[in-house]
Amino acid sequence: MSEEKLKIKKTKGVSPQVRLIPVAGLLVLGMVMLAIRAVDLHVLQADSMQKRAYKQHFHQYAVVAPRGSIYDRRKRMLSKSIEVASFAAIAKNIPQEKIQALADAMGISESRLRKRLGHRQGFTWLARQVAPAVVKRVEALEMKAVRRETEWQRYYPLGPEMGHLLGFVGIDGRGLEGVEHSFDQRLHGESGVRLLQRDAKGTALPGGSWLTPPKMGQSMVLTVDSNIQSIAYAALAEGIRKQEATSGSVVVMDPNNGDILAMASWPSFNPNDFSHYSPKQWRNRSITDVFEPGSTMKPFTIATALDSGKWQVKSRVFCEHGSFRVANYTIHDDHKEGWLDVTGVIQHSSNIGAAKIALDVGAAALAGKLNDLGFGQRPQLGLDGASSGLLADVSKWGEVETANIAFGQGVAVTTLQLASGFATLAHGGQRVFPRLLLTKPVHLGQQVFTPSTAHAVSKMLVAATQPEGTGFRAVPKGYTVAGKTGTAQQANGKGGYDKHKFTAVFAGFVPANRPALVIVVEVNEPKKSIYGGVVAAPIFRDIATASLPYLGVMPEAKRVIYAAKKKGKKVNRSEPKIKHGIGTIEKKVSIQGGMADFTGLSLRESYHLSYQQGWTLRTHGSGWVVKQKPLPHQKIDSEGDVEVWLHE
Amino acid sequence: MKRTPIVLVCVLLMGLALAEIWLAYLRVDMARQRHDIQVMIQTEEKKIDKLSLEYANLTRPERLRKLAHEQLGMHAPRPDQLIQR
Repeated sequence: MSEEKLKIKKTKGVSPQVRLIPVAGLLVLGMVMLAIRAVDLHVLQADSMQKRAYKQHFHQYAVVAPRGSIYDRRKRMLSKSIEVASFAAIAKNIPQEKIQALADAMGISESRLRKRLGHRQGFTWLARQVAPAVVKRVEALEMKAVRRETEWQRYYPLGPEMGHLLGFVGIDGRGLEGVEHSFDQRLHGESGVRLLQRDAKGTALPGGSWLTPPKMGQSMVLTVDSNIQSIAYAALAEGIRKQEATSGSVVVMDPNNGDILAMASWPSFNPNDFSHYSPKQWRNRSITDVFEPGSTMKPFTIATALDSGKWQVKSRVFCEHGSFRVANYTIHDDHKEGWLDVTGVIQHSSNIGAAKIALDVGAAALAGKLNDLGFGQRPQLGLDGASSGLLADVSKWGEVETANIAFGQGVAVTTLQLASGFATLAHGGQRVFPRLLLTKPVHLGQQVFTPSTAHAVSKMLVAATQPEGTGFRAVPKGYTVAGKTGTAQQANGKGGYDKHKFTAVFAGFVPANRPALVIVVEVNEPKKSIYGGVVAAPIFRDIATASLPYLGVMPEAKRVIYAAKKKGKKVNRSEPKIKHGIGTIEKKVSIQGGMADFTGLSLRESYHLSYQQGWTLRTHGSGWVVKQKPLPHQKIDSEGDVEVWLHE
Repeated sequence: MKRTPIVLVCVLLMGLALAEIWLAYLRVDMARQRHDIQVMIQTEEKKIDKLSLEYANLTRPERLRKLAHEQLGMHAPRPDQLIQR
């Protein structure tokens, strides 16, 4: 039965083997197709597939290296780059209906944004270096077409005070002016590319490697002291305002190592907002603008004469009572003088005296010294745009040129060059090269003048700032100044001089006997007065008055006392000399068997001395002691009252 | 008895597979944590940069001088007020 049924089934249907054939065929076909696809993917499309896989597994991104920061000598920040957001887009991808909303978020008008997009199709910056509030508003729109980019914005916390020196950088991060431009190679960073592996969710996995390592911008430390810079800037601005001048510049330098402590110009500009100022305002006048130094050149003429051996400090010159003819040219003095010694030539600022001395010494000697001092040469400060000034080749010097250059006409210098020249005098005659980078080694040059010559000229310059000199307004209370005024007519561009335009200059160092600062002040076209002693000298004084205490330079009356103390001597026992700041009043403090001489002491010193001796002190006024009771050296008891009157 | 080694190998392979999955999870989690920490560090560094700039701005000499003069009535010291330690 069963066999019959089986036969019936076999005859009715297709056998299983036959039915398996199409299935197997389909499977084989599938396998073949898979194999073909595998070959297609792994062989034919291998490159593109590998690229896609790489993109999915790895992520490359650019790392923008920030620009190096700039610091002052006390590591105070002068310039720093901060990461800020910018927005960009592929212009054609921005939906037209969303332009209004985007413009509102960016805080600009729709027409302005449309203008920015123009007819562009590709990459377009929408807004660069925007504020955090704008970032929030734009990101809230969640527009896929708008892409956030990271950029670095440069900030200058000291603003206009440092503007001329630091300069600024453009929107592409490249230095355009000042230190930023001159040291751009060092400050500028190079972007790098980093490779990261990602998981299926796109999360970065540990590790990663640099395809191109970024080069961070190097930081720089300047020799500038931002406090002194601020003091100099404020004093210059105030001086220019008072004199209704058009412009001016100041350089403050340490004569011991050539460090530029301040370099200020007026009118100024804010480097954080430089595009709102004219390019004329961007330049650093201290190094770019030249002027005739006038009488501030005389100390170098005198020093050359002393060094030549032909002239001594006590040598005298006849100043022709105010009028002296050289070839076909007549030299005049403001104050008619007869016989003057060399100090008198400086003190009374006699053009004729300086001219006669220079003619006697000779053009070659004077030109040689001026070259050695760096006049007519571009300073190696590292700042671009520094002028070399104007100093004609000695072969072109006739008698008139020699006479003129001796008192600062026919020669043009920058404020920095003049400061460098005075630093040489302050440093015992050895050339001091100005230094702007603290990391750069101090560069001292040749001995331009002998130390004795430099010392002698310094003493003459002190005389020039005494009450009978032209520079007395430059002297801060408590200190002595070695300095020289200068007043020069400005060239009119037609080969002559403008009768109404002057440059007022004061150059000098302070304290005179142990110089801590060289300060040169130059003021252009002052209206109230034209004289360096009236216009520039007070600016010098204001800078010195504020800077010296800040630097810990004691008034000269105190220095002697404290020097004695440092050596382990007691002031009241060793009878030290006390030099009062102005003039050289020498007093002796002696308390052996009698009352000490308080004259010339400050209030604090008076208290100190009284405390040491067990006396009770009563004081009146402020400043230095001018009167006391009991009188100095008067016999007194071991304990008693002392009364002093002080006056500034 | 003959199947015991095969079972053991299977169990071992399963164990290793589970361990691999667990390690992969740990790796991903650690990567996420590391990423979060890096973002935090970057955020803090940005804050420090901004604060240091703000500090430099607030302590600029011109501002301090003005505040000292106008609000505290202070002036630059006279030479006789100086002491040297």
